[in-house]
Amino acid sequence: MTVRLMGAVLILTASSMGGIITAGMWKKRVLQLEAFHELIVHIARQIDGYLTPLEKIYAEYDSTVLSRCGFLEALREYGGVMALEECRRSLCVSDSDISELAEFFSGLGRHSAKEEARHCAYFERQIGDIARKAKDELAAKTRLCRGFGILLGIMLAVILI
Amino acid sequence: MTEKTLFVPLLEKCLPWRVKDELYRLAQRGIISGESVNEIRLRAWRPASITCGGKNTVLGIKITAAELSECVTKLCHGSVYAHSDTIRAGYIQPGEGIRVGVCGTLAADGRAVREITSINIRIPHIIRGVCEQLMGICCGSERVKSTLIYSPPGVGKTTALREIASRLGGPLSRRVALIDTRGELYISEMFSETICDVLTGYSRAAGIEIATRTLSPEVIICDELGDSEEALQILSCAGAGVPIIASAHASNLHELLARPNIRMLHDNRIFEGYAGLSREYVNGSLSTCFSCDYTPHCEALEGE
Repeated sequence: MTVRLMGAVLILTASSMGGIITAGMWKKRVLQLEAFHELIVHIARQIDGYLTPLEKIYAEYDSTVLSRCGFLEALREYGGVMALEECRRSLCVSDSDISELAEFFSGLGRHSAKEEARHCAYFERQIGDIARKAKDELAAKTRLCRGFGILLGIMLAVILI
Repeated sequence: MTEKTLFVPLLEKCLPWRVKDELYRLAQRGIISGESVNEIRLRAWRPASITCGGKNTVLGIKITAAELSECVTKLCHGSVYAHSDTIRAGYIQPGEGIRVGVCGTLAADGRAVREITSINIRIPHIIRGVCEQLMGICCGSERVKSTLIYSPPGVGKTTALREIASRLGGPLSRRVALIDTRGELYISEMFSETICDVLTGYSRAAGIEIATRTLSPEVIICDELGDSEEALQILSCAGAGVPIIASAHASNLHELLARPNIRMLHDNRIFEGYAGLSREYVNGSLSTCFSCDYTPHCEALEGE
């Protein structure tokens, strides 16, 4: 009986932690999308205002969120599209988010300043909308994940006991 | 360049792979070598070609517009927009002395090139010891002589100027101001041990003015003199007592002095002499040795 109780507590704890971690990943997704949005805004400003080459933009840009997942380092070494592939596992964004970002980076640097500004403005809106929507849904998703984790833990614990 | 690569790393990275494959195939058959290729011309949907020793060789490849665009993007180091000004002026400066001439369709407002249709990649070659005669003439004494080097395009004026600059700023330890408007003169390998001051991307007129006012040069070197603004700036620089070694396009001295801006410099005795460069064809290819036909200013006057 003691063992079952301990098992039940462990299951409850693990399930609750699972819910919290999943909620954390949703939060991470929002933070990363916002970080990508800020990066696009920065790139657009540098190109439009100063015609700064991309190599220099990437070298001088700093972002804690993008550095933590290894994207910034990969961006400086390989460029945007390959950096997304390299960091796919450490990024918490969805496949469709990655497709959008890949489309942004693959079209960067190939055109005149005016066309680059248009390109950046389009993806600034796209990624901005995705980030905003994710942020709006975050609270509900967090509650759902945590609640589901706890409930699942309770259910399994009861079944065990 | 190593045994395994034909060209410098920058070009190896930028060339479309089909063109690179074809060039390596020709090199394996002994038809070309890395040192013999002077130009690579790429055209969208039309045959690519190379120039070796003055001779054109058409490659059996037509690259697509997308391949050409990719090549241009790589030559611009991934930032075509950062090179908009130079592309509008007809060239790209990738660095390391490589020159890329650009042809395309200008937008209606004249502010951008809408579509690049062909490029000409001119490859610099470090050829040392080609200018002994010219060095002796310009730099043989303590004082450097102002000299204008002339030849038709493709003979090697830029190669000659590069070597003169590196030797003056290197072993001879002269303060050289190198006005490298199109990024064609400076190659890091040749200038790493020199005391040359390099002004890259400046117009010749602005570069000469800055050099004269702020760098206290013992000699100014620039390539391809042309317009009146450059000529006027050289006149004021000569007033400051700074010798200048420059180049200009012309087939012969008469054609050179017929150009109004060069004529103005000649009438003001800016250049102490004119050096006509030429190279002979040996076995169907241009020799790597220059011949120099030097005419002092006084003899040029007598000849008129």
